[in-house]
Amino acid sequence: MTATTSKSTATAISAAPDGLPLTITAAAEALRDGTFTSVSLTQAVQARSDTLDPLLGTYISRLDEAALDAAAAADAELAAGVDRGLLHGIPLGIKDIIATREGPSTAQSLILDPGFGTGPDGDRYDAVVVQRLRAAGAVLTGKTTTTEYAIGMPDESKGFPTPHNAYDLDFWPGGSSSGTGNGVASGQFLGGLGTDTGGSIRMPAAWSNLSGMKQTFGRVPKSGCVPLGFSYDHIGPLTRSARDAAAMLAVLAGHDESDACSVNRPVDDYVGALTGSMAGLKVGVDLSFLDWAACDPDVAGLTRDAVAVFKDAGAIVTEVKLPLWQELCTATMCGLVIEGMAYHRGDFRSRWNDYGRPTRLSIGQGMFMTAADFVQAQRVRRVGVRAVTELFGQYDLLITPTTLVPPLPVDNLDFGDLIASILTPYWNATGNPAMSIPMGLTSGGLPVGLQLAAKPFDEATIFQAADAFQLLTDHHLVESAAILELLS
Amino acid sequence: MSPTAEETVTVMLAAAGITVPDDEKAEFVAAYPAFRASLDALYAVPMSHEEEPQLIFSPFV
Repeated sequence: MTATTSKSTATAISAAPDGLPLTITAAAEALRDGTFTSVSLTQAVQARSDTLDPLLGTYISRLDEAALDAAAAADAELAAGVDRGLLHGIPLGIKDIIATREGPSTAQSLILDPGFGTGPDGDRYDAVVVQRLRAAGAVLTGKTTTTEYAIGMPDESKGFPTPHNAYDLDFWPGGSSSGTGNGVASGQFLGGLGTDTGGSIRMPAAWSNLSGMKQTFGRVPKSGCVPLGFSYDHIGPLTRSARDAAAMLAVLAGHDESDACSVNRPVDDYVGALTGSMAGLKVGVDLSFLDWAACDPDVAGLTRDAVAVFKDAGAIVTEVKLPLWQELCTATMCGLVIEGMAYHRGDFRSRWNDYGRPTRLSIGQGMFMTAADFVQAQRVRRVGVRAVTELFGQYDLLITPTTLVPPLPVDNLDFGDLIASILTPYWNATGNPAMSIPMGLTSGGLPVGLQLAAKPFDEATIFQAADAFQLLTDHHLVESAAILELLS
Repeated sequence: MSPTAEETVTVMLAAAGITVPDDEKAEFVAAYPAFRASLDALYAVPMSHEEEPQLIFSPFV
């Protein structure tokens, strides 16, 4: 099941019998022209989940009743002339490591305290990002699958669903924001929240044909989210289009004192930055990865094709070499496991076997670092930040593929193979914003992505270029033939 | 003489107070040399001897 069906950018409507809008932007228009109400839209995505969720492993828990209540409230407000913006009445999924008031979060683990997300009064609370989505009128459809504690690999031995790729169910959608990825890709909701500590938004974006933004560290408060690596974690949007991601980040971004890492500075107008042009942007492209033995030939070819789109659109493209590549990836992958080790040591001592094997073997590596190693990793991050800042003195954007390979087979996943295939951890070490956008399907019909990074807090330039790219290509609107077949 | 990977892993597991099955300990032992080498490479990055870490202590919360 690998064939595909393409839709034009202008329509952005699914070829499935339900005629669902493919994007948040198209759905917002449909809510205002009467094609859909929020209730009918929510019922449509729930009907999809009835069919698809058992096959794709998208949800840990569905919030059907609460979602319909929120949709009815959105319809009433829109009818009364109260318009909260693009997300008003739009179904969104939430990764199940982010607190929501409806019920316990699991982090897809037997370990997490069921009291996580409960305040001193005993009531469950929303994470700040969830509060902001609700205030924008969004309809939250459920809590989506991850890998345990947002690391490791799928592990059915603990009783949680294994996520499958929407473009070919024999493959993995990427992780750890797996359910948000395959849920958007299959139209079970139109956007959602993921988290990214070493690539967990950008990897499933690349492998599920989505646009996924890991914004600048500190731009979006991460309080109310189960931590993995405190100084590497981000909560961000996964959507079909860059325009949709811009609309979501506009709601999510902004200071909140509940997160010690939250940065207090103004939020740019991300949607207003979408000029449709990338002419004159200075773009550095590191193509050295395409020569690596591990790089899939289709990934190399699609990367070159994507770079050609930038050139044809008037961007000033220059080949560059990203500095300290391996060292900064090490600083992320080793740093996050020792930060994770601090969080998990107590439970590792008493409940080692209740963790999934991939989780305990990955975070457990943190036992074998010294305190000096951790501090040295932080010194390397400082040197790295200085080096990329110097490079960004010459360029607006730096581009690489998001991964070296297409999605991995779901029944043969290996953590080491996975880490060797992603080009994302580099930007967690430096904290720069980085986004993955679709750049086409391989000859096997599997999605892959292009990664765009920018100066700290310059998400607007990434969105500008990504949106302009998507006006010239329709990769992001290519639906999965497998899903269309299941819905027919 | 430097300790072997197995000796190091054994000591550090004990220091952490964590007991793991033999097969998982064997995986840690097998992975340790490459893990250690990647960490040692961080000390080879050119930098000022006085370079500070990127995580900076603050007296405020």
